[in-house]
Amino acid sequence: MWISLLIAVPVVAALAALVSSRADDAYPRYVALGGSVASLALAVYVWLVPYDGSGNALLNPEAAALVERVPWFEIGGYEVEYLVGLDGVSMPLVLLTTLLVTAAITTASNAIHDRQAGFYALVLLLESALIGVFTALDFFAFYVFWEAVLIPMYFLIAVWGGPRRKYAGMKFFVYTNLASLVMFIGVIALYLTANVADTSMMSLTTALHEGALTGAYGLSAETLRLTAFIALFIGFAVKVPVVPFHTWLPDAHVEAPTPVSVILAGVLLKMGTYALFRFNFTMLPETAASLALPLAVIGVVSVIYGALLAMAQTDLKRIVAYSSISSMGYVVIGLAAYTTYSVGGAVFQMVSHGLISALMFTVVGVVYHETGTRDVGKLSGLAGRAPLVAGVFVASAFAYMGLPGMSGFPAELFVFLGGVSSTTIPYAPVVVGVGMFGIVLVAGYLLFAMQRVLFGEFRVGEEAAVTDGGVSVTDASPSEAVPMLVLLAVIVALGIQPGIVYEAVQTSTDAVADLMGGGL
Amino acid sequence: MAEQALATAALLIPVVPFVAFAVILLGGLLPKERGFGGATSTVLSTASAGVSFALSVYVLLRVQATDASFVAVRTAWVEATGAPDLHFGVLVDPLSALMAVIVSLVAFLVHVFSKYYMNDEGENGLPRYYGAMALFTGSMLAFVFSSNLLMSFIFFELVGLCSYLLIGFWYETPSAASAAKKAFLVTRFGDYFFLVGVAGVFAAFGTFAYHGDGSLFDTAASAIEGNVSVLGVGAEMAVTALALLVLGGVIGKSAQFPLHTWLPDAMEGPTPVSALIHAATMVAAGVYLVARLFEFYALSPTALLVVAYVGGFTALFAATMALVMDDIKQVLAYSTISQYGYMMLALGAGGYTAAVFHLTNHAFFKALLFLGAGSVIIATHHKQDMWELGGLRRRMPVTYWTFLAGALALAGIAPFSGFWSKDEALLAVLRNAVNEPLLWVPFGLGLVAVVVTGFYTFRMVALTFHGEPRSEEAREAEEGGFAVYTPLVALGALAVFAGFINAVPLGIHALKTFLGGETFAEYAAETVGYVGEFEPSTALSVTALALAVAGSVAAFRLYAGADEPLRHRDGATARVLEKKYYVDAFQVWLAEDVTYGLSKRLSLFDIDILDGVVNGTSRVSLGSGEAVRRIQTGVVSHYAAVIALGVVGLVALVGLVGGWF
Amino acid sequence: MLPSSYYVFLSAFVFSVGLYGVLTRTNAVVILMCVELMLNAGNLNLIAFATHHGGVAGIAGQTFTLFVLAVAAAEVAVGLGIFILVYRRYGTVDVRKPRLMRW
Repeated sequence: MWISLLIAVPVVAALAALVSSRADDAYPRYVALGGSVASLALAVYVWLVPYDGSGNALLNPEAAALVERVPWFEIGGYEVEYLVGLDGVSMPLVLLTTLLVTAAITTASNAIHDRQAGFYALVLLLESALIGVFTALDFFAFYVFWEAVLIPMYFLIAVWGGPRRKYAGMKFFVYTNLASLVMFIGVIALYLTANVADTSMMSLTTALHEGALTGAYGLSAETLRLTAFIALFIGFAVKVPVVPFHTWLPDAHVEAPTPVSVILAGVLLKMGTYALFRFNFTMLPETAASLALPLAVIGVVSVIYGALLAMAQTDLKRIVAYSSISSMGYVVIGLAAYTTYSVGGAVFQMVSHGLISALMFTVVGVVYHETGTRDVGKLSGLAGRAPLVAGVFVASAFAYMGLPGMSGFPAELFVFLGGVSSTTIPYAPVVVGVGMFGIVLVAGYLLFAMQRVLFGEFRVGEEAAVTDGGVSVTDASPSEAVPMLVLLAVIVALGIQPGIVYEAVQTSTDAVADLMGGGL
Repeated sequence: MAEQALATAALLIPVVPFVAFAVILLGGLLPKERGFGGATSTVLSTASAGVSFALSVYVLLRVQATDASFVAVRTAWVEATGAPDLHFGVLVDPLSALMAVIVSLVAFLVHVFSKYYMNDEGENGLPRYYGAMALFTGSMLAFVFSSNLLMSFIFFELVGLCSYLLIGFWYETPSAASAAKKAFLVTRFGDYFFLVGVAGVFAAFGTFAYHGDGSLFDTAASAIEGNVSVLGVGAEMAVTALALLVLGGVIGKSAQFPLHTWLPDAMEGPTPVSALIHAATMVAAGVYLVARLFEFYALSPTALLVVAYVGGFTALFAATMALVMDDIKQVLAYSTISQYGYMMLALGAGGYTAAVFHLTNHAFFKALLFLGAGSVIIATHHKQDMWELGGLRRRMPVTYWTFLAGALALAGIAPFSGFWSKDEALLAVLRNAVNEPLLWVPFGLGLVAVVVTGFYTFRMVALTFHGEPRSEEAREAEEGGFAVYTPLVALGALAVFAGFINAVPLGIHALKTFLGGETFAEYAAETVGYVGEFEPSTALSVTALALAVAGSVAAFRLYAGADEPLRHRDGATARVLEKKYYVDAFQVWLAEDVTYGLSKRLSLFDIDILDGVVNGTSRVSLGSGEAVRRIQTGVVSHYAAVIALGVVGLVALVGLVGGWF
Repeated sequence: MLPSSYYVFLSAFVFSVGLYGVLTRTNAVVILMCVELMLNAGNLNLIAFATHHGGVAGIAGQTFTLFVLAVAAAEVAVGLGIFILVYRRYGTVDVRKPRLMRW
């Protein structure tokens, strides 16, 4: 009941927003705000009161909380159900989703002036689909939600985006949809050969762990698992995104309006790593462990490559986009390392990066709204004019750098602590150590960007100096300041006391780490 | 009961400044009408440093009295279900108690001086300044009391953040913003190695604890003893590697070669901040960490030797650069680097007491020198080039005499504090060089640096205070009031007398006894075969003193009467020194040309190759569609022909398969 | 009675003539006439096999033929109507001229 309610509330709010626009153009914004706040409140309530998850939903079906199971249809002898539930990994991600959607909707009024009803309705539908992705425990339900995310996202980029929005939207849609197809084939291959009665993800996990998978189509079980693993990995890697499947992301971010960037970086990327965690690393641990070195190397390459690319950018949004690629690389390293801290840290990093990148995009959005440019070469000395914006900018940049006291630090620390002691990755200290160099690179490009944008003499555009009367740059308005400060407060809270989330996370991640040796 | 009070006091020492910071921060977020301004934050931050100082003195006295050494508060920061927890703890022992007094005292005096340097000059952004100062003080004190390596790292990083905020305080000046960035980036580079070391320590030994049963040191020692393989290599090798990784962070923060480049640039910050950074917080953190981890370093002869070499080399290397600097703060900056080199040298040679002793003395006299320089700078309206100063001793007597005390201490002239500790540091190296011939090299470097130190110190004194004023501002300099005198006199007294707490040649061993230096020396003797007891050497003391005096006198004679800029800038040597041995240029090249160049090239690769493949795929799809759709001619007969041919083809196919032919 | 194969060959011949006409001629009316030829070739086949099999199958074959005739008539009506429209639009009934369906 609770989860269905979580999925339904945004849909109802979306419809209400559409209907309300008939009365007045200003209404949809307030309706959407109300709807998102209601979702957030509901999610927090669910987390605090009825939620009682105690383990990993896939490994121990009893552990999932608030499970709902309704028969849906039958196909080819397989029972398909509407099956949803929450555990220690999905609960934080649902909270993250509702929080970031609320923040995005709050700050949206700056960026969105046309067709407001449609915009807010699509954002709310997106929220609903995202909650569905994180709670679905039946593969078909999961897939339906997974694909449902693409549709509102496509329109949000292609209708409300920047000058190259059509290109970016199409690229996003085709790229990720193609990846979904590859993933779908992989999963279907597993279902068809693993001898299960229904399409729930638990049944598949159990079957795979018990070795029910036999050879088929002339392939040995081993080859089949490997092929399916690779298909799944490619499918999810595009979403994460992992180098070299990342090129849709900078375009999508640059063209998307700020609130959409917030959700894209904050939540959509986590779908990829969440699915990697659920499918690749929980269902096929042996294969994942045997591929740990290449997987970790992919993670390391993403970290270093993303950071170096961010350094070369001049558009603030592109900088944050590439640094997201870099940060998500740590998640892949953490998962591949298969230790208590690294897997827990990987999930914690998803939450942490969601918050930090959302904050960063919001700040960049405010800068853009105030100055009309995101080019670091055209901005200078904002700190004097907009101290609050500058303060939040500095804070979010340091959060990105993994400064202690902010959520990025425990997240990266856990990944490193676990990663270095990994038993699955050969030469783990060296491999992970190389990846850790990202913390220097991230400091490099963010400090450069801050120096250019915030410090020095105040200047916007090509002119040497704009006097007080020239460009009116004001500090953040309350509708921008409040979400930024709330996000910052959450980031700091998680940095000082990571247990708030990590306690729940590790109930679900420890079991996965234990699949392959565990330790530390 | 007393134990309980001690624990509470120790916990409060770092907490008080953190609270002050939080209050100032929240005040800044309030709307202007209801928030508070510079005055309140000045009081809050200064008071918090004062309270911390009072508590630190109490803790020091209690520790002295009870010989206490325990973890006062220990609480889990992260409770992991399948792995060791991560803890926060307050480690009360002689080292932390002593350091807490140094840090809080210097911080408090710097706060007092800041009133003169910042408030009275009408600076904007005072809440930002004092908020960062409070955070700086709190972070450093928390670092001092850290009971485990992870906690040390956490506050080490926060100290770095504060230095960024404070060095870049005048953010509208591009050079200040740039210096702040450089400081954070260079130290971050060192911290990278530190963090790898932290993760490695956890992976290898499963604990970060400094104290108690199963501490990091015990675990590592027994691993070496049992010849266990950790992280895929032998335990001793692993300890050496981890110690050197952690040393990376130390080299960054303590500005040792080759990561020293940020420190001279950091002079862009307000002078009180420089005093705090150099004397008691950021730079001291690195050496303090090695002292804290001495038992770990003492497990590996290689690591100790590396520490000694880094220290010895840096001591001389930085001192030579101080010779040619014209900016008074730059001279002090290089002297800081050089002096921390001495501490590292002492630690590397097993001279635990000597290093901590020099750390203490240096904190006082360097804070004094910076505040003195700050007093000069304000009095002359931000003149920092020594060739534009001169003759200030008559106009600013208090500043002059206290500065002179600091200079004598820095130069290492008896009986001022620096002499005793530098002498002890060199003694440790000398005594151990007998067994470890490789130590002769850093010993020689350290000894040569003594004469250089004397020279640059008195060049600075002579140029600033003696001779005739060389600018209008210097002629009309006015000394500040109470807020200047108090810190200067307090620190001046310490610069004169602090050396007597461990004047070895006079047979005074108070500090050594307090710190338990005996135990550490014996420990090093056991593990790596160092000398357990350092026999005093009159010859060394006399030589060092003679060298220091020689350097000082030479400089004084050369520069005291110099009216015209005396610039020997024609030689190749001077040019190399002026260019700071090209280390800066090399690092800039590394960052801008190599890294940034690589990133630019990778960006092209990303756009042209990776994204090119993606766009190429879509282009091929579109292109092939374009080609194939040409068969849609629109002529009905063509369609009919294709249908007919299709039918014929199908019939033929069916016939072939069905075996009609 | 003639063997059934004769009718089949005749039908094939007529069909081929019709097909050749449809493919080679450009005048829509001629093409329509050729289509009629092809339809009637089919009819011929149906009648021939109806006679060949007799009985119920024979009745069915004849019924089909009647249907085809009716449909063909309707088709001609519709087709000619289209041609008139085409002629009005393009001034010709050459099938190469209206190329709206082109890429």
